[in-house]
Amino acid sequence: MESILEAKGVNKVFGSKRNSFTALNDLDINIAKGEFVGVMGPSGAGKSSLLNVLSSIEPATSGTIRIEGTELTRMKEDQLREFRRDKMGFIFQDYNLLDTLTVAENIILPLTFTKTPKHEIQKKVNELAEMFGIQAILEKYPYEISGGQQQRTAVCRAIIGKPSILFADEPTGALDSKSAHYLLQTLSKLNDEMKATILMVTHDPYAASFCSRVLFIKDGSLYTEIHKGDQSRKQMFQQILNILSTIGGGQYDVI
Amino acid sequence: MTLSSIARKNIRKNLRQYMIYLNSMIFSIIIYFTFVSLQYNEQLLSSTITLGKLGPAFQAASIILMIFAAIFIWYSNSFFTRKRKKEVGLYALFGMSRKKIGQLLFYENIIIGILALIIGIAIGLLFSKLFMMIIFKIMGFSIEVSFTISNQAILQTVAVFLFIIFVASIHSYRLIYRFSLSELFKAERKGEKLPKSSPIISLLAIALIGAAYILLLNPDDIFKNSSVRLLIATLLLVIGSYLFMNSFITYLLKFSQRFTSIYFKGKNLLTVTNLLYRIKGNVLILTVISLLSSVTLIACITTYSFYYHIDNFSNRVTPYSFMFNMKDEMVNKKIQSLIEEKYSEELVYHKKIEYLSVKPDVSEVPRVPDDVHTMLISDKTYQELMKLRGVNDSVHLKKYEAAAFYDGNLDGKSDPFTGKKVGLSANEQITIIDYKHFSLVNQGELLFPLVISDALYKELKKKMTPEETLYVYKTSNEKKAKGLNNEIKKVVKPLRYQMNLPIYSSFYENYHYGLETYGLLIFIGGFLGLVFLLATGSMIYFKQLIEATTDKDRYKILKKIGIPDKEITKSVARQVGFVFILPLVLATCNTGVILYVLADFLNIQMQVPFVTCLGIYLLIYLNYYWLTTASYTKIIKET
Repeated sequence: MESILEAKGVNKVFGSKRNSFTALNDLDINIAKGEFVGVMGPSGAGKSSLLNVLSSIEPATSGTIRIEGTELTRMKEDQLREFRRDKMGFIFQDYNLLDTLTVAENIILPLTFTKTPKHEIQKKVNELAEMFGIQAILEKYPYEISGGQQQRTAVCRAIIGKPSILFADEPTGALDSKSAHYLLQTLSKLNDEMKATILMVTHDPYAASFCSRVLFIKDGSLYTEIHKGDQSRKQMFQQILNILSTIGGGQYDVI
Repeated sequence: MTLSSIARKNIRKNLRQYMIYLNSMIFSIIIYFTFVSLQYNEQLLSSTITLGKLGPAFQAASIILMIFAAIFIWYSNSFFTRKRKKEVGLYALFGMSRKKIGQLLFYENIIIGILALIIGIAIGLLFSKLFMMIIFKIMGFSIEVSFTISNQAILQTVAVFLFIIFVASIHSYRLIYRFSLSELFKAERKGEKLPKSSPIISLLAIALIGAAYILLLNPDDIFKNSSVRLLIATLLLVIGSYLFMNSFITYLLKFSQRFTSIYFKGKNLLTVTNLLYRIKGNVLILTVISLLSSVTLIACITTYSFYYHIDNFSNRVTPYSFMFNMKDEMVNKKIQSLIEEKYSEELVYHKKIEYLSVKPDVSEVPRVPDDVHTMLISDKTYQELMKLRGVNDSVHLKKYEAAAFYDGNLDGKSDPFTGKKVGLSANEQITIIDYKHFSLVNQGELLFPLVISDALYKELKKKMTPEETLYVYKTSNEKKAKGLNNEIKKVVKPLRYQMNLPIYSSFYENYHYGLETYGLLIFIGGFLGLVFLLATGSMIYFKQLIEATTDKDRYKILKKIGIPDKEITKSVARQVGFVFILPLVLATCNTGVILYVLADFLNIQMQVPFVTCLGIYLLIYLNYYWLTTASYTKIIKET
């Protein structure tokens, strides 16, 4: 399988020498094309640090990260940003939509900084809006629509540039269970039908059960990982719960 | 820990936040104090003859400055309190009583205010000397400026600003009462509504401004009464400007969104939506700034034009270097010999003008007051004089006809005399049939010269005796004739206010009188202009920084989804640029039209002053733009 993301020996240390805290400890991660990978772990295990470092939002202290074979750790900030814009899509817990822009404008925002012709931009918006069921609200402003709709808008914005990999940081964290379910379905549909590669950080075992593979992080290191394989989502869910109960500290997250 | 110690600690620890507030306060105090101490400066008072006349101008200017200072401090006070809403909310959450919080903010404000007052006056003392030197330079004095401290100025400044600070402190005190706890914590209201923009109102805005311009440019057509016309034009301009900012600009921005191939290009989308989002809060301030800038520019350019054309003015109203008739042969001889002795080489021409001094019935000529002496000069004398002056001009007068001359009228184009009748006696009337756009005699001596036909002159000479003589001299170094002028003055002074009204006028005196008057005027105009410019600049600056602070999160998102810094900076530069350019464009249009009318009315050229003032204005304005853009980007970049 073609590998999209390759991380080797990644360390992330916060703070100064005297008072340092190791968030990530010598991690190796490989994500193949078309995978839907979940990252779980107790609070403070380094989930979010992992996502930030892999997506180059925060620099790694040491180690190498490659996306589609391009080495990220040696790039300059401006190069990185361009790379992020072209190759990565982001979904955040708090949607991060611009309330000065309409839904449609929010979606096309990343494309306006590339040389995409306008008819193509409009075509893409319409396709995505149809796929995510937000055609009716394209001209509305973010503060006029529900959280679920906002998050779906954010997903559209994240994938309109056809990124190589989609990073999702607790995408269901702020949603009610119904909206969360709907969003997760769209993500797995995206994964199934469009072969999108997704890395999702979550503390919700239900959300993680939609993934094809789940990584468990503890104290900055890889604790274990499970593959969905031929299991049903229910079996996967059960397996995740079992691991979480053994991992310790995580019970607060589960209950 | 007492309240005032918390307040003191707050100021010390958050010095950077307080600095903007403190600086703007110091700034307004310096300006006010500097101006007031000029007003009370004894050196200035004693060395100018004109200050008495310009006293009201000074007074008005200091009141304007006071109002400006109050508004400016109020503005920065609300900027400052707005920034601290969260902090105040925390105090409230921790259980501090409202009254205590109010007191805390009150004390803080008073401390800052008094600090600003002390620093402001100290710096103002230095500035006032600098400005004194500038003022003397413009007015053409060469006096060593001494360093003086005016108690009166200090007292007045302290009184005015203590009052302003007190009111501002009460405003801060009320902060906690004005907002509920949740409002204190809430970020700025999300989703400001767009102002309504209809093409009709936008057209109306343009039409109103256009109508105002037409009204100004065609003075005679629509309203006869010029003050009513000015009032209506101003009103139209104000309403038009407001609608222009409110509706037209919104419409324009929205309209631009239709051109998707441009709109979807890079920063355009960001810039336009950001502008639209903020336009409502900016309409009023942009309108005020555009009008304020217009007034500033017009005042500066007009006073500068006067100053710039002072040579022309002086030559126009003072054609002779010396002109006198002391009504005493001995004295006249003495002055003659003084001039001829000293300026034998510089003498260009001199002439004795014979004339008849009469007191006719001038009720038909409103521009000539009753106490003015009418000079009747014969056509022959007039021709001789014109030949000397090198003016190619002649009049063709029948017996009872006369020619009148320019009398210093501000309205430089119109002819107030032709057709008017002057009654010499019950049955003898002369009609003015010609008007010359130049002065026949030096002005300022209450003379009304008329040239009449030789025939009538001869007849009158027989009836009315005696003929009098006016001596005129033209020398080539008239501007520097200080020494001679003083010598003659010694002779003239004892006779100056005699009943038979002796005449003495010198170019030097008139020229320097003008230099002083317009020098002071340009100083006041320039000073106010500078203050207004700094004020408007700072207002935009503050407003933009408030927006930057509230929009910070938005730029954080852009960063996260991978929009390059360069693009963000460019978008900010455009956005801020738009806000800066709008009022400037409108103000330049207004200024251009009004000055065109004014220049026409005063019959002077204003191109050079216009370009100079606008240039300086643009330069300072541009600096504000850079400063604002830099601070804006700095704010949104810090995370």
